[in-house]
Amino acid sequence: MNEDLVISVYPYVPLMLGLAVLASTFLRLDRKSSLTKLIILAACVLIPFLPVDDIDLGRYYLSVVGHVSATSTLLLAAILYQRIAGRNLLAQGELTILASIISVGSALLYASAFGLIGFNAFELGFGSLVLFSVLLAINVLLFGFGKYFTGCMISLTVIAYNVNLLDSLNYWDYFTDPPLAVLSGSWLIFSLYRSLFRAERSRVSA
Amino acid sequence: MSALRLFHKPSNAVSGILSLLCLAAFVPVFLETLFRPSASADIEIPADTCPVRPGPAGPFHSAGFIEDIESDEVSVHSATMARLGNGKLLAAWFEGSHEGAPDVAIHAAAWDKAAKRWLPPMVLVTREKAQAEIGRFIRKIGNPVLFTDHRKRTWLFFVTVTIGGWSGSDVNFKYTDDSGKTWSPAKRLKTAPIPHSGTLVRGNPFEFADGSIALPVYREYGRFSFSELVRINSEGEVIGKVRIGDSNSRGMQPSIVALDGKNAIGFLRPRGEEPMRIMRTTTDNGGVTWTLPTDTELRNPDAGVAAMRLASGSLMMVYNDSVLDRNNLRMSVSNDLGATWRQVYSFEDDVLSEAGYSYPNLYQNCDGEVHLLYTWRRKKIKHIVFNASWVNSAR
Repeated sequence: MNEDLVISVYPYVPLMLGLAVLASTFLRLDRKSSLTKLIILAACVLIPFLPVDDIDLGRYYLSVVGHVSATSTLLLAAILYQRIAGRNLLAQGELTILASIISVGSALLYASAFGLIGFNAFELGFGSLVLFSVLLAINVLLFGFGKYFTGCMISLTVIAYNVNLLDSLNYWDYFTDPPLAVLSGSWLIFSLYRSLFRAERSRVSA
Repeated sequence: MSALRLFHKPSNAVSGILSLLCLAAFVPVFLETLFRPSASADIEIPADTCPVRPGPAGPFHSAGFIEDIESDEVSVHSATMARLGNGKLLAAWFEGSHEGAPDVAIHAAAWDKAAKRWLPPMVLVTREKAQAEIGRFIRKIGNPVLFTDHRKRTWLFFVTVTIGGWSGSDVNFKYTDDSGKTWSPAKRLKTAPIPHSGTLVRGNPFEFADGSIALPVYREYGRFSFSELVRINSEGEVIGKVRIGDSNSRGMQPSIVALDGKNAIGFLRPRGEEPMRIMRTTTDNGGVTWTLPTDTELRNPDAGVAAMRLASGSLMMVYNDSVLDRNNLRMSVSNDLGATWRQVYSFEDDVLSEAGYSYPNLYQNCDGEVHLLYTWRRKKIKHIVFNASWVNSAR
């Protein structure tokens, strides 16, 4: 397939997936007939191309969010798979690990992007040996401890970077984006609160 | 085998293959990193300042306007210039009902050297056209910057805003390979990991020895601002970015003078911080790191400055010599790389002007002619041509 075509069409994919996730959540797609599922999913594919003014809806969305990382796209795909097929690809423990990795990376990146710290994290994204060595080490550990989904997610973002899927030479664009960073941080705080609450409850009941 | 089993309970063989495949994804990126040239490239004298041939020996100086029409309906600002591939000088600026209005467009005009006049202006970029080409909603258009590289490709970098004010700016570009007859579709430059990162352009770019372009940019978040140097490859992809100074450094709209080898000097507009002096920063490693900006003796009311190196090696600066307003526009010369300055001429001095004179832009052509453009009372773009002899006689 033409590289330019992939670069111009790919940005719509996360929006299509996001719409499908919303539809599957609120319309309970898993309980619908195959034909209904197909019609709703087709609508999710077409909605981003609806013209608004002289650009389409998908482009309006991208105007606001900038870009959607490969990680977000993969997570949306995993959630959609779970909603439609009823099978969870991502265990709770893996989600927390992934959220931790994304949160740490994003905190470093965005603090640097706003000029709050002297360290130039953004520059590392341009194929830095240090960044990819760290990622490789994390991946080896993930596979070593059997966290295959998280390991595969990171590898897929590296593959997306290798093929320049997002038309960017900076790896960070593939790894994270602002909404994902906020959600990951919130997930971590929520998980931590829940763990503390459970520990407190078991202490009281004991 | 279901995806569920693949990720949750893979057999030893499957997990081994999966691990190897996933780790193999890192091979291309490591190979590319290992064989990539060093980040520290030599700074070169800008490609569009060809080796200066001696021009007319005597001093000369002339002044005029790009378009000598004054209207209360029109506001113009932020002129820039570069030599096109065919040798003609091209100027660009933004023009509309007022700064930030949806009708603001980037206009351009070419200088007819023989007739010593500007050809009729044309519209290069409108908000609607940029929106269609970039494929993003655009609310307004801002500063343009022109630059011609060693391949005679002329680049137009320009600012757009999707949400909010200038703090939500993005930088975009388009280019021409046929001296302005046709232009490529506009494309967004990804200069930061966040959308609408408040990145703007104003100062002239220069070229590195490897052909990559150094684009001085600045980030503006209200009164908080700082400067960066973005490195772009020949296809317009961002391949690097460094902060000018450190995380505590302020100052915006860097005007960078490439010297030689790995040396350059940058002059920054102070952003409302006492003592309101133009700041100076230097690099001796090809722009990889910059010294902490320090105040020069030159006053500045939080307005753009233009610096340039003359063929003699002296530095020239055009700026507003005030800490309060833009009612004058003066020129100073330095013979010690910007450490000390001597004021040589005043282009404008009008205490009654409300709109003032601002945003100077300098360009030296092959004949040694220096062209100066600046915003004249927000109504016109003023154009002044002079040579080094005139600067010397003005001292």
